[in-house]
Amino acid sequence: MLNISRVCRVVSLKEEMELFLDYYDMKFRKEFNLFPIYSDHSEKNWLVISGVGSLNVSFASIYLKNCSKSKSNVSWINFGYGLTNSKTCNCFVIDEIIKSNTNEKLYPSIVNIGLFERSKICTVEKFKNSNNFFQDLDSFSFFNTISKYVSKELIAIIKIAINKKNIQKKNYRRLLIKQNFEKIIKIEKILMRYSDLESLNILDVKYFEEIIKKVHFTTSEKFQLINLLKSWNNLYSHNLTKQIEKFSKSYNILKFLKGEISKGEFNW
Amino acid sequence: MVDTIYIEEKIKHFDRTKKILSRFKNSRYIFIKKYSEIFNVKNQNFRIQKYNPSLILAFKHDNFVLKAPEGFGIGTSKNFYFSHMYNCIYDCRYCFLQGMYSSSNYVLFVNYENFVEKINEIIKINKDKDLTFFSGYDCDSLAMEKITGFANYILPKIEKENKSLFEFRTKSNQLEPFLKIKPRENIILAYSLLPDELSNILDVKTPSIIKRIEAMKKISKLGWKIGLRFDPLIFHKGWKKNYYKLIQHIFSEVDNKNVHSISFGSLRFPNQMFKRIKKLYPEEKLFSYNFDIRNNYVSFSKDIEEEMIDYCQSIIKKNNDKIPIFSCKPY
Repeated sequence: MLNISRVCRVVSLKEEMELFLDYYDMKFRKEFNLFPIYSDHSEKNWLVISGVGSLNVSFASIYLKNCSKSKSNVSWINFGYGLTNSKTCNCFVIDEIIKSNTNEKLYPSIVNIGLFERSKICTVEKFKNSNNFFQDLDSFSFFNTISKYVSKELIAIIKIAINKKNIQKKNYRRLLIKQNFEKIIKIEKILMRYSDLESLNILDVKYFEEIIKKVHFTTSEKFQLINLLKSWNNLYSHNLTKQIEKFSKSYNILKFLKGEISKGEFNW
Repeated sequence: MVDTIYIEEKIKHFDRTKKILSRFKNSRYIFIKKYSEIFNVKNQNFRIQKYNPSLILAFKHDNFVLKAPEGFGIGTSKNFYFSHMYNCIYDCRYCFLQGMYSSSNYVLFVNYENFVEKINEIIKINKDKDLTFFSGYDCDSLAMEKITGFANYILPKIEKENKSLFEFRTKSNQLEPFLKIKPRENIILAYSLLPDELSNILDVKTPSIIKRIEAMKKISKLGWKIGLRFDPLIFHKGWKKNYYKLIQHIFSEVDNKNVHSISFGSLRFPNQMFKRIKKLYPEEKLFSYNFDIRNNYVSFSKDIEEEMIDYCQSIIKKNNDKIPIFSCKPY
């Protein structure tokens, strides 16, 4: 794999980020001041603290997307707590979200997570007292916002179940994350693989920069060049630079590449 | 293993739904209103979903039987197709479904009865005409038979006296539903075939060509009509040698008198579909060739296509010149 994956994480509260920061050695990025943002040295791992609620999570996600210059290959994770009375302490991957006031439904669909426990969740505006169902404040809005920018398969919502009695206890919340952190990292690794796969389309095309530095190409010729180089790189492995150094005009380079690709035979 | 099964509320009490679900006791069931909430919606990734597609059980409301595209046929005046499923368990690199849908989840329509009703209706309307009904256009007819039981349901319902042809096209070696009943002249079990050298690389997750030929041998010996579908024909280094070997192998194994027909179709994609597939697999050699665009179809040049078809036809005719041969050309 190409190892160019990137993961952006959105959490509501400070203690939800602590283990991620340690694990990926992420540092506070003081240049971004609307929401607290952290990233590691390689900028493969990012995190934003959104604060509580639907609007916050939407704004913070978009803010992180812009600050990190994230493209369509980036995986996104919303991590936090969900309120319930049953199966507390467990960590769930959310695969169905119901917006309580409208009954709209969304279906996050991270692929190949057979081993992980899954649940539906109800996104509410305020936590309800009758908490027989799993509820949170931000899943709907997070998924709805981020799925406009990346494939749905690159988005995971992970919630730890907690009851009303314990939700206010900071140390208890920390402990729950610690208990479930290994699972969370496993899910992140799955997402990173998909992020790598999505990155194939946005990788720099070999020889492109080198060629346009030497020869002038119009904008439309540049598009042609990218497409031809992608095909050429798939068909051949020898060095292109030497073969095209004799050409000084863009037209000749494009013609040469077209000819080479036409000559190419499928040969496995 | 299917991790997730989405089930339309409307069909959750159907016996067929329950029967299918009984095979997936460890899967997670999610109830939905309509399959379109999950399938082929914006911003889905066919390639990622293909790692482990979900199953969607749905009710089909219309378009049970559709007219086959121009140039698609095996000699009758009118051609139709029906698909009880969208998508396929195989992952053939040249498959048009990759560009057709943004989702590779399997949609299975459980109201099989409506397909039969519609087929009978079309036969009735066209009672003086020769018709062919193709199964397996948006899916493989038999690949998921163990779960769907579709062929098992529909085969006994095809009347013997019916002069319409029914083709079940597949890459699987699933024969079970055909072993349960006596062979019928108007039912063809058709196999998609590529030279081994290509199939090993491009036919991902399918039974090998050898296994497919074994299945053809077995079923043709029992008297079933089989179809040989060299579709797509793929131009590659050593293609003459490889297609020769494949055709000779088939003719040495399969009972010639039960070969109903042979058809060829060059590798071809509607232009927009090709662009989508290429974007999905940017590193794929197969899509890097300098294809021609003719009538909005991406394909090999006319010369290459004709040379390949002529060559393959000549080998077939040397083996047996009585089997009808058809070419599928949409342009």
